[in-house]
Amino acid sequence: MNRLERTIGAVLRSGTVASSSLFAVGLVMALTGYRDALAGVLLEAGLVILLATPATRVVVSVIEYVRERDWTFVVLTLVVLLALGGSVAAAYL
Amino acid sequence: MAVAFAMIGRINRRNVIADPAADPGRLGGRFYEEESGGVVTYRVRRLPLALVASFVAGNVSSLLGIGGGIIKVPVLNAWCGMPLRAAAATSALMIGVTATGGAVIYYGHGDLRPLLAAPAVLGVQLGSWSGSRLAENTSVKWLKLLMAALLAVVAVLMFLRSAR
Repeated sequence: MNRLERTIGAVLRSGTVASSSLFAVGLVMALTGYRDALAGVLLEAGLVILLATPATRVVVSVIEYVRERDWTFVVLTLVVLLALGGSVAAAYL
Repeated sequence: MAVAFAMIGRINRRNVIADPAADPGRLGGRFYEEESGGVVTYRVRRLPLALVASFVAGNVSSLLGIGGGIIKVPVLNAWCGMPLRAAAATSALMIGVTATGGAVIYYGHGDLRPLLAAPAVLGVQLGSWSGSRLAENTSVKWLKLLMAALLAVVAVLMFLRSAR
């Protein structure tokens, strides 16, 4: 595995572990009614991390392809990033 | 249904080259495969076909609410020279990124219910973890049979639903 694959693997793994843990703890707290407000915050954080993980993966790819001077893939990945940015804009503007 | 038969027709054909030093080309790659007992190489062919298939998959998944992977994985495997495991991983990665685009919009509009999302995400997480463990120890022949059976079942279900 090269540096790009290892970094992407680390990003995806930490993102899924973090969001799943938050979801699991938040879900148990919400169902048992233990500190409802905090449970809501944990679930919300899990959701945000889950959504941010693939986006972070794309950002990491752009950076790594620039490092490798692989301009074809820099352009391709930037197009994907632009599309993701477009949906963020569509959601909040 | 046609894709299911294409999978069965190619059940014993492998897209991997056992030589780890073979040139994978611009888009191909190498990975360690338990089944072959070493590092294998693959090359990607017919890229325009993959583009068309993904376009069809995108339309179908938006129209019918089924995952696009059910179209992309067989096409990548049967016609574009990708090994099944690499095709499955590629499809999952693609869907992860593209689905985020849609999910962000729902989230921004406040349509995402964290309490409903949590059990769904945990279930999928558990399933994909055990699935990837299982795939490592299952021969590609069985994975292809499973894929073909799944395609056939989906085809029959959709047919029955539309006939009602």
